[in-house]
Amino acid sequence: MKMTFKVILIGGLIVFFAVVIVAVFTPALVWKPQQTTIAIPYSDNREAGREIFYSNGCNYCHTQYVREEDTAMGAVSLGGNYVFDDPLILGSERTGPDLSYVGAKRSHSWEVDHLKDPRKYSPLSIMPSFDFLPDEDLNLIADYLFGLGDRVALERMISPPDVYKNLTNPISDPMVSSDSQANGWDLWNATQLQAGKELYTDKCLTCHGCSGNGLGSYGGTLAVTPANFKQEPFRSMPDNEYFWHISEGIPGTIMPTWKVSLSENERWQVVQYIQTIFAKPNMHDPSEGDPSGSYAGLTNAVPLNDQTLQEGKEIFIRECMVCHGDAGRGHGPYHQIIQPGPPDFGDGGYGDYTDADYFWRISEGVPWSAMPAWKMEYNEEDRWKIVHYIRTIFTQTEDPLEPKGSAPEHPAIYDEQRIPESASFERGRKVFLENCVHCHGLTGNGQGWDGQYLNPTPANFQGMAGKQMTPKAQGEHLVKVSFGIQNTAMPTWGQWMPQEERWDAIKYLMAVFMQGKPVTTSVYNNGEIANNYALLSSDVYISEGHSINPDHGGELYTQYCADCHAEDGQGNGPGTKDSASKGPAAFPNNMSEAYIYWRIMEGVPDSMMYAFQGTLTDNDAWDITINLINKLGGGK
Amino acid sequence: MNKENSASRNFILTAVLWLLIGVLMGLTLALLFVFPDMFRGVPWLVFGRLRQAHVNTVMFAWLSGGMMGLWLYIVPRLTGRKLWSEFLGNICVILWNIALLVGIVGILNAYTQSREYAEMIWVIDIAVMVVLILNLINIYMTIANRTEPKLYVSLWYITGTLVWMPLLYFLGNVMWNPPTGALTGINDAIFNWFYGHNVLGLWFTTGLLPVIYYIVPKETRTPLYSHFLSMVAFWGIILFYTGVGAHHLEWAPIPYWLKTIAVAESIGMILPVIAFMMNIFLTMRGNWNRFMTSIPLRYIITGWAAYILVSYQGSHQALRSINLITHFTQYVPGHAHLALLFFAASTIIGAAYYIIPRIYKCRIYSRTLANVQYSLYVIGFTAFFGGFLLTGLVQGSNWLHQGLPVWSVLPGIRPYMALRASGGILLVISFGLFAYNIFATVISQKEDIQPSFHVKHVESRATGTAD
Repeated sequence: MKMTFKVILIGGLIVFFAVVIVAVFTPALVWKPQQTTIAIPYSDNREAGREIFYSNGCNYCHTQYVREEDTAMGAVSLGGNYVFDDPLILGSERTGPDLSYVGAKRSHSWEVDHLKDPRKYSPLSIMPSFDFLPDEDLNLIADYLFGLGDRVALERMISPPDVYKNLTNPISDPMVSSDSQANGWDLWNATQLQAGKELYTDKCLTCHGCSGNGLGSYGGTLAVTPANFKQEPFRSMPDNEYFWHISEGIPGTIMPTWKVSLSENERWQVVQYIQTIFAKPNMHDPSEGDPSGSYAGLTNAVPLNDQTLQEGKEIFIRECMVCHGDAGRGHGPYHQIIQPGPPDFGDGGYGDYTDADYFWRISEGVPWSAMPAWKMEYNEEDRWKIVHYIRTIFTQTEDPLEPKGSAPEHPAIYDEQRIPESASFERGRKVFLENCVHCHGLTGNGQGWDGQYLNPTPANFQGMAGKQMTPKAQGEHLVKVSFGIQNTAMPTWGQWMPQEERWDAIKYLMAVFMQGKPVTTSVYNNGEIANNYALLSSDVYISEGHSINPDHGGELYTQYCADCHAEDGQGNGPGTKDSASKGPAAFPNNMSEAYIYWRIMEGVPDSMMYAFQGTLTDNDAWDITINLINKLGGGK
Repeated sequence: MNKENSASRNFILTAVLWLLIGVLMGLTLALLFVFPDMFRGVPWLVFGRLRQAHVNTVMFAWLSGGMMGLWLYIVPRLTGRKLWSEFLGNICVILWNIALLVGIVGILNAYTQSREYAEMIWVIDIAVMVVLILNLINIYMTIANRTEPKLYVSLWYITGTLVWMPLLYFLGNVMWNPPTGALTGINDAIFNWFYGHNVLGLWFTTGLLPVIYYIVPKETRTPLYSHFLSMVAFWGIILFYTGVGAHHLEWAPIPYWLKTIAVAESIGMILPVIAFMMNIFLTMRGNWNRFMTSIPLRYIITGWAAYILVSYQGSHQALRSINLITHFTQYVPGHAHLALLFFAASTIIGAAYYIIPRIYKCRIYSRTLANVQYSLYVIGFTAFFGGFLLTGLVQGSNWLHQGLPVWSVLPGIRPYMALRASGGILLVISFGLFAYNIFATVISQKEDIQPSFHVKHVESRATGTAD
């Protein structure tokens, strides 16, 4: 081709306009997006604020459009959001946050103040300070910002991307009939809940926990607590949002993008399991059914000996104790949040249970309950060890091993450990109250409410009165607390609580049961009530909508107080007979309710009187207080 | 004002002054990313204003001014006659510099339309349009009255660019709507980015490729490899470049088909880029020793290489899957700087080293300075560009893959922004040396001791024109 001036000029213009007509003029003519409710005409103030905003180039760091892939910025921007914008300030760089929906998030004066000194509010910000603008201008900018993204029009800031928006769970909810026919397994499997349970056990349990409260063993290592399905917003979260989060993970956390390794159907199965068992546990078939054929008639394939029993105990303490409790009574820390709750191995009702009955429940989980399918986590050998532990120690349907009472195998270094300076009596008292008293008793006499059925019964510490905690004994105690006691239910606390807390408990043990900490050093003086308790009264508590039940208080008194204070409050209760710390004196008969409540919650410093806050609820403490007032006289 | 080559010289020398101002602004911006309170309380040094001023200074005052200066030198050489009117050329120089001075000072005082690359207010737009048209008249009249009948490829590009840019500028600045210089609503984005990208595509690219086409054969004394490849590149650029603007809006609420056209056109750009790349590469064949000995050629070839890099990067970046990560991040201004600070600036620096000594019939003041400048330029730019890319990729992946909010990424990118500022310091020093070298050349006018390259038959074989 001969490139003459005409060819270049005219040809160049023809090609230029051909493309411009397609790529510029046509869209401008045909693209007329409908006005949305986000677009509202600018008031004079807002228009002026907008002009100051863009004149200072704010839009060179702050975009004003939300893309579909943006996380938690609000609804994706539509063309009709901009019908009043002239000039349009979409922005091309996002050095600062997108401002599409910044309006009405903070107060007007916050915006002004933030413009003047951004790092006062956002320490990481690199935004310039605009304190050179007159207040009048800053106020106009704040006006503009305050109206960005109409809060009335906006549905929610965090909504699933379009692909997840209208999904429904393809797995139908189980239809549980009211007849008592034992169709547990068939129905359970048919609803794919077992598949969901296996996936949950395999993939989710370590963070979200067996009880779905986000306190799985790995969850405890995370700064961002995993979701607790028992609480809002998860309890009422719709299926598609669960599916979205499971598929895409949760930004800023370690929640993985499971769409990489789980099929769509598998993800729905997990959603179904979480919803049915944890979030909305309202559908149950009462029947557990029977184990499938392959489990029938199995017998324990692992020999019972000191080592296998110890290993079974370690697994039990790590995984099972949170619900079943260390004494097997179903009183573990999370037992109240699962429905149905865990069974009581100590109720004597396991006479007809065979090895296979335990083994299939451990392996497959229990239908319609949160019991995990441990076959996903532990091999057969490990599961059989758990069977041994439960049968010899709790249900006592298998011959126990002898001798009992010696320390299990452990690294020699533990014998050389000594109580550190930092060990705390007060912390130890709390550890003891929370973990030990339900077997060893509040007075350490071995008469705790959960442990009496065990063989042997829990240790009575009162026998140690007057003895010395020699350096060697310190190491021995740490070993027993950390590794448990051979062939007994004494837990391997080393699997559960930090060494620091174990030392605290041992310090408490030494101070209270060897040396003695008489409680009667405290003399009643209403004036010493701590400030934050001084104005409390049962009237106020009732006026807040609570009700106080002194009878319940009486039961709690018997459980928690009578051992030391005696049923009649005269002190020197039955549990204190041989105690190195002696028993408390009789209650004075003029105690105020605030005083009693305060002592129950906070304990008495440097004495055996426990601080029950955290163990008893506010309501429990009031019940006991009023029960005691009724018993003794005294009052407001 | 009527002295031969005076308009060209004046455009180039004023542009070099603007360069210093522009890069100092840029360095300040880079430092503000790291030390946001550095100039607290100084209104005209606030980031939002200074960024616009920086962009307009380097794009229009430095690069465009310099580029027009190069044309005013090249066009007479290729047409075989003097410039039609040196006087008109000098009027352009004066008007251009006054308009930009007013426009940039205006931006620093918050008089802006705040549309990227179209910031300057309407009055300035008029002045810019006037210069563009006067310049068009001047060069077209020169071409119309040429003595060399054949049009060398450089003239194709200059001819086209001269008419495309005023059209672009008029449409992109929405000059029929003086108050805001914008359309109302979302379509404004389409106009803005059609213009915004084509300031690069149909102004700097088509304005500076002719400079490369001119100087490479001249400095190597080798004819351009292929007329056919030149045509492929020329028609390819005008066909593909014109429609890429919407790839800046791949996630904005504009028609999906328009985005698809923009992506397709961006990928299509690979064709003319390969044609141009091979044409120059094959012209350079056997002449690479000149890369070391000729200072102008070294910069021009660096500009050529940068053009290839930035074009491939641009095509690649327009793909939806890549754009998903890079959009909104510092990766994009990194790309823009590869284009303007490495391709365009290097080409103009090289051409200035070629033209200024020839206008004064002297030699470059100091080859050593020019060599030092080159090293600082390449090293500085590498650090600077690396800072941009790393910042952008960290931002993009943290937003997209981690879902982190924008502010939480800021501490993570600070080291890379510091790297960018460090590279920026080297670049400013490099440009300072360049400006010193150019003005020292003009003032000292050292006698040209090199053997003359002006061997007539070689010249005409090289460019197909008489000199």
